Amino acid sequence: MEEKKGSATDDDLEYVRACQKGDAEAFSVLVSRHSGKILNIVYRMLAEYDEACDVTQEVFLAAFRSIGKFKAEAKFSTWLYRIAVNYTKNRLRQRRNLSRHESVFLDDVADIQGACAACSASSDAGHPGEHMERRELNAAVEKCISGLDGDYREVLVLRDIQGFSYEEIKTVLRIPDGTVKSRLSRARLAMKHCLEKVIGNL
Amino acid sequence: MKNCKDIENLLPLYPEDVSSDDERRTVENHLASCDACRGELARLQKTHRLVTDLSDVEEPVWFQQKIMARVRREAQKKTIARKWFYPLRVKIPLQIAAMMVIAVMVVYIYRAGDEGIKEVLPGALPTKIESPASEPLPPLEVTREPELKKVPPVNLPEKVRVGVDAESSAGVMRPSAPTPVPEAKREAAAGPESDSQAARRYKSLSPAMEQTVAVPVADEIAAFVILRVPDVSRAVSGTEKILEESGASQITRRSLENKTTFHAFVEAKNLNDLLSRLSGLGDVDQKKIHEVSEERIWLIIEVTKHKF
Repeated sequence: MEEKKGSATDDDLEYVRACQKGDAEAFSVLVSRHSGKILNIVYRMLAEYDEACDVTQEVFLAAFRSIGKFKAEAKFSTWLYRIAVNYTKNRLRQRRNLSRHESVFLDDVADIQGACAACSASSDAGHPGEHMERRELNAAVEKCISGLDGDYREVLVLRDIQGFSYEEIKTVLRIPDGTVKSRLSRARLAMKHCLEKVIGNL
Repeated sequence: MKNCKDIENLLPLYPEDVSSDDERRTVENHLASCDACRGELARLQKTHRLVTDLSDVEEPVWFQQKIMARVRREAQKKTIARKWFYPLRVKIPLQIAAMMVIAVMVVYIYRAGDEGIKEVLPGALPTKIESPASEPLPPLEVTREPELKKVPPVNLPEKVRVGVDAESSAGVMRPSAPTPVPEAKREAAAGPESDSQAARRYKSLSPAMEQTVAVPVADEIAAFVILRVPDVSRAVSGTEKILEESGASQITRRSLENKTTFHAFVEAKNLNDLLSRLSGLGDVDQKKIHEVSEERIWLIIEVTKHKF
C-alpha cells in the first residue's frame, strides 16, 4: 500500500519510463539525482573511497541493465538503494574472502554486542573526547562504524547517517520492522561502547 | 520496576518515539530516579550526534560523466543486439545470423553471374559484418580457381551446412558447382522464400549493418566537454550555432532538467577552434581528448548551469 503511494509521487518515474523505451540519455538525470547519495551509502559501508566509487558505478550500470524489470512497485530510489546495498555486501564478501587470514577488524568482531574490534585496538590511545580535534573525532567514529558487524552497520548508515525512515529501511533491506529496530538499537549501543573506548569519556 | 540493564536496551530508540507507550512510560519513570541511566542516555545521544555529524563525501570530478559513458556503451550493446535479433523474431546466435546473410548473398552473387561477382564483392561483404563469419571471405576469391575443392555441396543436412562455414558456401559459389539454387535458398532463408525475396531481405539488411558501423563505440569517445554557463538556454542556442558553423554533423540535442547534452561528430581539425569559441559562452571543462588520427571525432557537450 504505502509502496504504491510512494510510487505515485516518484519524480524519477518519468525518466525511468523513458529509459525503458530505449532513451539512454534520460538515465543521466537519474544518475545526477542519486549518484551522490549512493556513493555515500556505499562509502560508509566500505570505508574505502576508491572502492566505493567503483561499486557506485557498478550499481548504476546494473540498474541500467535491469531497468526494464523495474515495475514501480516501490520508488525507483528505493529499488536503486537495494541494488547498492546488495552490491556493497557482495564487495564486502569478496574482500573478506581475499583477506581472510590478514583480516584486521572487519571479520573478527567478537564483542558481546556484536561489534567493535577497532575500539580494543586503539583504546590505549585514550584521549579525552574534548581534547580531540574534529578530524580525529571523525576518524574515530568512522573506525567504529567500520568495526560494526555488517548487519548493524547497514542499518546505522541508512538511519543515522542517511536519515532513512524505518519504513524505507524495511523495504530496502527486506527485513521486518522489529529486526530493523533491534539491529539499530544494538548498533547504537555498540557505537557508544566503541567510542567510549576509543576517545575516552563521552 | 525494571532494572538498569533492561532499561539500557530500551534507551537507544527512546528519543525517536518508536517504542510503545508502555515502554516509554517505563523508561521515563526509571530515568526520573536513576542517575546512571540518565548518564547512559546522555552518552548515547552524544554518540548519535557524533555519527550524524559525519559529513558527506564528495563525488570525484567527472564521476557522473564516467557512469554515463559506461551506460551509453551498454545502451549501444543493447541497440546492436536488437538490430540483429529482433527483426528475425528469434534469438539465434550472431554467427548463424551472419551465416544466413552470407548464404543469401551467395544466392545473390550466384544469380548475378560471374561478371557480377567483381562488382558486388567489394561493397557487399568485407569489414561491415562484425562477426567471425566475415573471415571466410578470402576463400571466396580462392574458390574461383578451377582446381580447388572437392566439397560436396549438395544434400548436406541443413544444420550441418550452417555450421560448416564458408568452405562449403564457397563451394556453392563456384560457378561450375553443381549445387542447385533452391538448395542454397533453403538453407539461406530457412523458409519458402523466393529468390527475389531472399535478395530483398539481403538488401534490407545492408543498411542496418552500415548503421551499426556508423554508430560510435564508447571507446571512440574522443571529447567530453562540460560548458558551465549562467544562462543555459542562451548558451544552448549559442552552442548549436557554433557546432553548425564548425561543420559538425549528426548533431543531436537533449535537454534534461537543468542540463542540455549535445552529441555530434566534428572534424578533428575544427575541434580546437570549436572549443575556443565555446569558451566564449562560459567555462569550458574538457576531458578525454585523445590525439586522434581519425578525421572525425565524436563530441559530447554538456551545457549546465554555473555553480556559484
